[in-house]
Amino acid sequence: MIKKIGITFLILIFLAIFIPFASSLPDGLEKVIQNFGIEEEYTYWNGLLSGYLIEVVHNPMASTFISGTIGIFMVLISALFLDKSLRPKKV
Amino acid sequence: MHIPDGLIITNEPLSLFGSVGMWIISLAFLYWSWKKVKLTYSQSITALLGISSAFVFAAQMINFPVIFGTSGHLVGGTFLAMLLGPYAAILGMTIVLGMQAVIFADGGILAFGANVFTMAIIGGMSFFLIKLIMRKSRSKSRLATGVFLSSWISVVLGAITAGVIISPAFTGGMMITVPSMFIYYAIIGIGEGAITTILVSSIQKIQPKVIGGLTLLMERSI
Repeated sequence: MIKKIGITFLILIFLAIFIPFASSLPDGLEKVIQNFGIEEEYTYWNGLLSGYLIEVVHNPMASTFISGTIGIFMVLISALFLDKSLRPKKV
Repeated sequence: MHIPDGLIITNEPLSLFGSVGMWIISLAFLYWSWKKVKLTYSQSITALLGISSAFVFAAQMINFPVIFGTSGHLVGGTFLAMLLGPYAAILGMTIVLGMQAVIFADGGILAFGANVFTMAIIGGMSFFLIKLIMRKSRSKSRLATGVFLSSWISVVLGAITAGVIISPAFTGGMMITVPSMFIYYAIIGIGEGAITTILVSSIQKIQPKVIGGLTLLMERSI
């Protein structure tokens, strides 16, 4: 358990270190959309924290870091549920 | 490479049925993978699945600049496949994509099936390419070559598939989207290959037991 908490902490440190260096250039797919100037259709779902930003946190890097932390914990919680669904039932 | 819902043209049958078809194919793969992982359930694998998927989620947030004014990030399908084996990797990557779509609107909901196919399924299945390259060999350099090539191919193949799926949204169709996606992701894929190879080789040096895929590579049937 301590090992898992340690690794999670390391992932958060990794995120904090690299967020300031992350490129804001479009990725390959976004570049294709830009190049051919198409307009995306209306989207039905805009997410809870769209763009990895939290409205109330004004510092963009802190905002992205907090969003990332929430995402990481949500992934870990989902993995726990997955584990529960995979675990053989005790007879 | 996350396809947004905005590129699925709902009043265009080809686009709509394509995305629904991708949902069905992906659900079938997910069920199959879930069954496979359940058969050989091990708590250490599911614990590693959580941690490594959390790392992939974080790594996907860090875009690195590439030429032509684009950026890329680690997709991580092959990385997860090396750590967890192909089936658990598909499940882990689907969790990452699910959180990205639901919480951050990174990748659409209607396009979710397509995103699972292009990143989770192709990424997880790239394991079999490494297996093909490795055969019975235990050479570290051969493994590194296999990991590099498989991660590059998985990203490029995913991008070409995404190019086909989004094509109805573009006037020029596939003739425009497929070559463009291929060019950008052939370059971004080099970053994917390099990062995955460095990660796998480093973990292999520090904690070889963690690379569950290594044992699976040597097994005849998985």
